[in-house]
Amino acid sequence: MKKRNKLEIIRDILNVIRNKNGKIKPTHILYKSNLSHQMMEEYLSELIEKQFIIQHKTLSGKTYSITEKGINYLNQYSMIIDFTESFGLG
Amino acid sequence: MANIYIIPTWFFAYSIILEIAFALITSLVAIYSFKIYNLCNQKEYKAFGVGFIFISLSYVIWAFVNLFLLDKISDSIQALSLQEFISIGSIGIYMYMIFTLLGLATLAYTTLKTNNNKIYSLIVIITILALTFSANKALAFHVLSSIFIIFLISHYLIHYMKTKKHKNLLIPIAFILLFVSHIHFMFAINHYTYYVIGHITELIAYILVLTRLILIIKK
Repeated sequence: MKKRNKLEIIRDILNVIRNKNGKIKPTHILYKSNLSHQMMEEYLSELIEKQFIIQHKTLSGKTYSITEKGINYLNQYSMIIDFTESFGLG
Repeated sequence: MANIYIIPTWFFAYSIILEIAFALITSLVAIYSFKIYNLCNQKEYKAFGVGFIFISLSYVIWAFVNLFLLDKISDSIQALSLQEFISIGSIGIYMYMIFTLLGLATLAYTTLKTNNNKIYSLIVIITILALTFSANKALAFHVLSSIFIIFLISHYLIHYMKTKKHKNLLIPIAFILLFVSHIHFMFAINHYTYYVIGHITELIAYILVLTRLILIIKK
């Protein structure tokens, strides 16, 4: 199985959250994103910091939803990847 | 007396137009890099954009230097001298060299895949000092630029070997042509033909960069 780079992992996590059409629990993200728990926590923290997702604290636990910025990232993803590959970044 | 280039008078206007074109193309790459930085907040895109902004500025400065000199040309071939520190032309030439080297150093830094600002500072300081204290600044400038460009070419070629996508060949080919243009500029001290050929080679390089960028934007 081909190893994913950081941009791909971010895309996969955001897709999982977006496809849930609302709020998603961490366990669901863990199951769908193919990451270890620690890696998932690190990525989620980074995505919150970058304002791609929002964390909601409820009585039943934490949930996550995607922001406009996160949706924008997904929409522009193919352009980002093409630019990254062309100029040897990433 | 140290000279940098011999420029034929008939080419001055073309030179200015070409430098403005190069400035526009490099600033376009920078704009898209900053756009991607805004999308994914990864620092390397910001650094990449900054590198191309420096290069773009260097071309703007060079265009102004040529415009300034165009005023002073009477007839025949004009040689640029580095000995005069008072004239705008000399300051412009130094600024051009510094911004070009800063740009190339920044691009080279992005290939190291590190966020260590100390490494970046070290590369920049050594580069500027090497230029400042060299006896032949024109030669030092071209040698330093060529080293950075060769470093970038090797990075892009290794990247192409890993991805095996033909579209990723455009950028390494562009940088190979930039290296070739620098070689020509080194010899432009002796004859103006090299200055002209250097510019034409640079033009082809930036057409390739622009082509790749247009293909990315069209997606």
